[in-house]
Order: sequence, then C-alpha cells, then structure tokens
Amino acid sequence: MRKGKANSSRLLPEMTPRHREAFVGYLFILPTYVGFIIFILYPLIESMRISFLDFSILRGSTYIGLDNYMQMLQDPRLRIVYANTIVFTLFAVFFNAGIGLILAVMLNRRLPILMRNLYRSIFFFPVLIAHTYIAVIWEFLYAQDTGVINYYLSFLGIEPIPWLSNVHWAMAAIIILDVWKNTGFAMLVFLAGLQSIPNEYYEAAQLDGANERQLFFRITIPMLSPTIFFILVIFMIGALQVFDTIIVLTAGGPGDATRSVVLYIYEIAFRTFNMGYAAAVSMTLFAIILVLTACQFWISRRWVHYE
Amino acid sequence: MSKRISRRDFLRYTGMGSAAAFAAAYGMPLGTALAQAPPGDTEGHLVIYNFGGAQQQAMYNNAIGRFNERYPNVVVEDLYIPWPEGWGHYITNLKLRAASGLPVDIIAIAIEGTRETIFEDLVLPMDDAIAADEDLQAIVDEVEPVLHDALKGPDGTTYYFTREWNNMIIHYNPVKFEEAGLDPPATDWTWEDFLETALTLTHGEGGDKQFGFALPFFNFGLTPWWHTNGTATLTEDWSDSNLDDPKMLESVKFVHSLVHEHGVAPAVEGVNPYELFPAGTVAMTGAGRWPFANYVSTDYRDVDITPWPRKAAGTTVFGSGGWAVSKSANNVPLAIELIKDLAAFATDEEAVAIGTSLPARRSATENEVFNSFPANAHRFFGSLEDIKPVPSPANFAEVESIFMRHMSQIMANSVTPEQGLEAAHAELSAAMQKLAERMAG
Repeated sequence: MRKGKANSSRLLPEMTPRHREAFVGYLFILPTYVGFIIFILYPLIESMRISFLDFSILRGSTYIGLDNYMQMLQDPRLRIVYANTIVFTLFAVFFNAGIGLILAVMLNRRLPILMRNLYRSIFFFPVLIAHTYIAVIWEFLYAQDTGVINYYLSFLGIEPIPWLSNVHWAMAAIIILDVWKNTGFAMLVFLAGLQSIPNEYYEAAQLDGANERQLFFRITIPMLSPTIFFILVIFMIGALQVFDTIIVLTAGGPGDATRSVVLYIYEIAFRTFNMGYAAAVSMTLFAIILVLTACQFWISRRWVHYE
Repeated sequence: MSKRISRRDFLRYTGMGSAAAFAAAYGMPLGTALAQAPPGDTEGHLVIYNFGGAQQQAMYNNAIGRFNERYPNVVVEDLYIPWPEGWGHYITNLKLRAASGLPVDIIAIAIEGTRETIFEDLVLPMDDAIAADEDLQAIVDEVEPVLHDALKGPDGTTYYFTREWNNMIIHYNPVKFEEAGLDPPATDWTWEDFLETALTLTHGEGGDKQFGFALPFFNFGLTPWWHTNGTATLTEDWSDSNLDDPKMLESVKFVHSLVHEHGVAPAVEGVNPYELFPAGTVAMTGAGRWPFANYVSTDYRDVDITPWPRKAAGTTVFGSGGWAVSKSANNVPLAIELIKDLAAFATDEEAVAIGTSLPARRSATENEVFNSFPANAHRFFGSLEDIKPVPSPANFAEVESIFMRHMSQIMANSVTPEQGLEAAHAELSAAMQKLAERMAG
C-alpha cells in the first residue's frame, strides 16, 4: 500500500488534493479533446487555409487572397442552394420536432408496455435504416408513372404527382422522406424528457382543477423546454448540413431544385476539383451555423426552463 | 559506367528497383529496361487501385492467384472500391494517395477518368514497354483497335491496357413484341420506326400500364441519341461545347417528346429502367451488357438486343476501362507482369461467364456461353463497326454534371429544350475554357 502511495505521489508530485482532482479530471476529458483537435479543429483550420488558395492536390497551391470569397458574390447557383437549404431546414425542423412531440405525447399515455414498446420500435425503426436502402424504396414509391403512391392516389381520382420530376414537388418529397426517417429520433428524445417530468406536478395541478390542455401547456411544455431546445438545435444543425437524403433521392435535381449547400460544396470539390472555392463556401456555412446556434442559445434564455 | 552493369544482373540481384528510375539513371530507353520479366523468386508488394462489383472482384482475385503462381513471394493488395460514386471522387482519392506518399502500383479506371490521370501525370506511358515485350504487344493486338485507341492520351500515347467495355444497345422483350404483333426490330431501324414501335407497345392505365421504352437517363445512356443524329455534347476533339449544334436540339427534343408528347416512356426521375424492364413494365430499354448479370441470376430470358435506332447515322457509344502502371510504382516490371494476368484471356473468359461488362477480346466471346444468350449476342461486338467513345475530357465529371443538371430541368419541363441547351452551352463553354487554361498551365 505504502509503495503504491509513494508511486502515486511520484506520478503527481507536489499537488494539492484540489489540483490533483483537477488533473485527473483533465486526464479523463483528454481523449475527447484530442479527438476534437484532430477531427474537428484541425480540419476547420485547414479548410480556412484552403479557402484562401487556388488549391491543387498534386500541382501545388497558390495564395489568392479573398478571390474565392469574392467569387461567391457572383455565383447565382450559390443563392439557389442556400435558399433550398433554408426552406428544407424550416420545414424539416418544424415537422420533425412537431410530429416527434405528438408521437411522444401519445406514447407517454398509459399503454400496455408491449404496445408502447411496439409502437416506439415502429416509429424509431426508420432511423436505423441506411439512406441508400431508403432511397431505393422511396424512389419506387415516388416514381411518377410507375410509383406506388400515385397508383393509390389514382383510386381517389388524383392525377399522378410528379414527386421527383417537378421543381416544387421534389423539395416536398425530400422533406417528407426526411421527416419519415428522422422524426422517430425526436420522438424518442421527447419521450425520455416526458418520462422525467415528476407526476407530482400533474397530480397537484389536477387537484387544483387543471384540464388536459392546461396540463400540457402549463406543465408539460415548460418542463420539456430543455428537451425541445436540444431537439431544435440538433435538428437545425443537421438540416443545414443535409446531404445524404438528397444525394440518394434526387442528386439535387431536377436542375438545382433540391440541391443543398453541402451537396453543392461536395460537387465543387469532387467534380470540378475546385477545392479552394468549396472550402470558402463551407466556411460561410460554418459561420451561419455558428451564428444561428448562438442566437438559439441566446433566445433560449427567455423560454427554456431548467428545473 | 552503364556498360559495366549487366541489366539482367541488376534486375535480378538488386531487388527489382523501379525500372523507370533505372532506365533514367543508366540512360537507356524505358522499354529496354522493362523487356525482362523479373525472376520468379522476386519478393515484393503491389497495390492495385481497383473498382467494380463483387463478381468482378472475385474475377480479379483469380487473376492475382495466377500471378502468385508465377510470383509466390509477391503480396498483392487489391484496394477495391465497389462502384465509385462518380469518377471525380475516385480520382480525388487516387490523388490524395499519391500526395500522401501511399503507394499505388496499378491503376484501374474507366475512360471517363483516363484523361485526368494522364494530365495529372499519375500513369506511365507504355509504348516503349509494349514495343519491347511480346506479351504486352499480344495483349494490345488482341483488343479491337477502337477500344485500345480510346484510352490513349491526346497525343496518341498508350497508357492503358483495355480492361473491359460496354456499349449502348437496345434491349427488347421479344415476347411483348410478339404479343403486339410486331416483328423484331430491323438492325437499321430509324427513330421514326422506333417511335411507331414504342407507341404500339404502350398500353394500359394506372398500375397495369405498359410503356414501350424506359429512358436510360444518365450521360452515357443518353449519348446514343446524339451519336445516331451525327452529333455529340462536345466537339470531335473534346475541347469545347457542342450543345449549340441544331442537331443536339433536335435530339433533345426527340428524347423529351418520348415522355411528354408521345407518352411512350415513363418520367425519368425515380425510375430504374433495369428494374422496370425485367418486371415487364416496359418493353424496351437501352443498356450495354451489364444488366445481363442480373438477367442471368434471376433467370430472366425474355430479352434480345438490337442496334440503336438511327436518324442521321448508325453510330452508338461505348465506354471502356483500362489498367495502367502508376508513376509511383515501386517495381514497374513486376507491375507489368501483374497487368499481364489481370488483362489475360482467362480474365476475359471469366468476364463472359459472369455476364457483366464485355471482355476486351472478341476472341473470348467466340463460345457457347456468350452466344447462347441473348440470341443476337454477336451484335455487342458487331456494334464496334460504327461506334464512338463517350466524350471524356479531363474535366469529365464537371461536363457530366453540367449537362445532366440542365437535361433534368428540360425533362422536368421547368425549361424548354431551347432554354435548357442554351444555358447548358454557356456553362459548358466556360468549363471547357477553364480546362484549356488549366491544360496550358
């Protein structure tokens, strides 16, 4: 024992217990910080550096100052893909969070455990499936002349909808697929939040004569506000970075109708090999996400209640 | 000094250093340095940058097995990328490996990426090696000249040995033709004949609807419509946009009319012709030989092939793939020996049996396996009489992206064919101008 203690003292020499505790704490978070530096911070700094270059992997790069950023001002496609991304983000976040919350509230009611687990699994299942498989299925569902959805709509006398081949419907098709795929995740998080609200609040409110609507808006929503805030932040960041849902279903088409910023960045980098410009566009997206997230945190002080 | 060192001894006793470096150091032509095959007890490690499906991977593993019978002490690492998501990404990864100092000895790539690898100086010229090596010369001689030439650099230098190829040809269902009272299509049928046939084959409503044709809506799949009208997306030398050619507009209008005017083909988005055709939802589509692996595995036999209908010409399109020795190869003679096995007749025979792409050699198709299905299988190689490669400049990925983006707008009716082609021409011209500047350094 004494030997071990001596060794331990040698490892952490002349430290007060408080410093030693802090040192051990830093050791525990060290792997996370190392991962952050290698996989996030370094690529971010490197992207920033590349955004000032006429970049070539093999032929050497040239410093061109702000040229890549100036090019963005004259790029009409960039405005389109940003507009697409904003539209997608607004609808995808609203419907994912909204439907996820509704499903969670419904499942939080007194259901037999078997039924609750069954429904929870059904709603969560799409989250687990790879986008590539989903795309194959949904292409089959969405096809205008040979698709399943239009086949059943025809029984209602509805003309075939050009889900993927019309510039307006294509974005709707993408949002529907995204909500189908991801709302189960929101549901699960909301469900966990709902189950952590103490029953005593509801019982006390019911004794005071509160009805279901009042219980929901006066107790459930305020108590769930940290979870709602978490879902809004996570889904907004995810929606602004949407890529795989689009590339597998429409590849950004028809034309640029469903092309997102990240898909555009990918194409600039890997199809036109213009890495410098791609890095510049990605820096603007980074800045936008940073500002929007900071705004969300600032606004959250007014409506998020931590117990 | 060079006279005092025996070339054979050098190769045998120094562990087979790079023949290119050797040739440079001793002032001899590369071909002379490559003429000698390394001895069988050579030790080494070769890396192949490769692509394709699982069946092809097994086929190339067999080729590596044959190589290892000759060179048991050489470890071959096959970096196999299952059907890459675009050649741009595939080439970028290759460049990143080169920039990172990660070795690649042999590069496999489709024609769409060959010019970029040549421009980026990633592959070795092979003309000297071919002239000095009977085996390599035989491989080149056994391949149809049009296939071999398509993979050459702009100056006519050979870098690639043909790996496989595919054309675009019409797949049709003979049973549907018979049911509709139609004779099989004539080999010299025209666009008008095609449309008339497609109209006859289109019938039904809702879920029971059968379409005459499913458009293969991708750059390679659309190209026969341009070639059979004597035009193309790029000029003959692949240096500039050709989308302002009135024949391009005529061709695009015809393709557009198949869906929107005549209704003989389903809307293109979300449609996979190679699922609809065997399912009997469409009576014709266009493809190379690649769907036959699926036809064979699902025992689907109601298919035959016929040339693409013609307007001003009978020219169809082909794409091919090749093997090249990487400029970063550590042991060039050994890499060449491996290519001999990868591009061997035995590999071509296996390709025929698998039913994927067409083999490089016509001679590998002169057997029952190839000719028994489809009935007119000889038309695959027959198409080589009037064929052009898919235009594949060094910026192919960008060209394809621009063209298909505007085509999808045209097919979605968000712009007219005139508007779409005009916008595409402007964008493509700028991209080709940028390429020219890049080439000029």
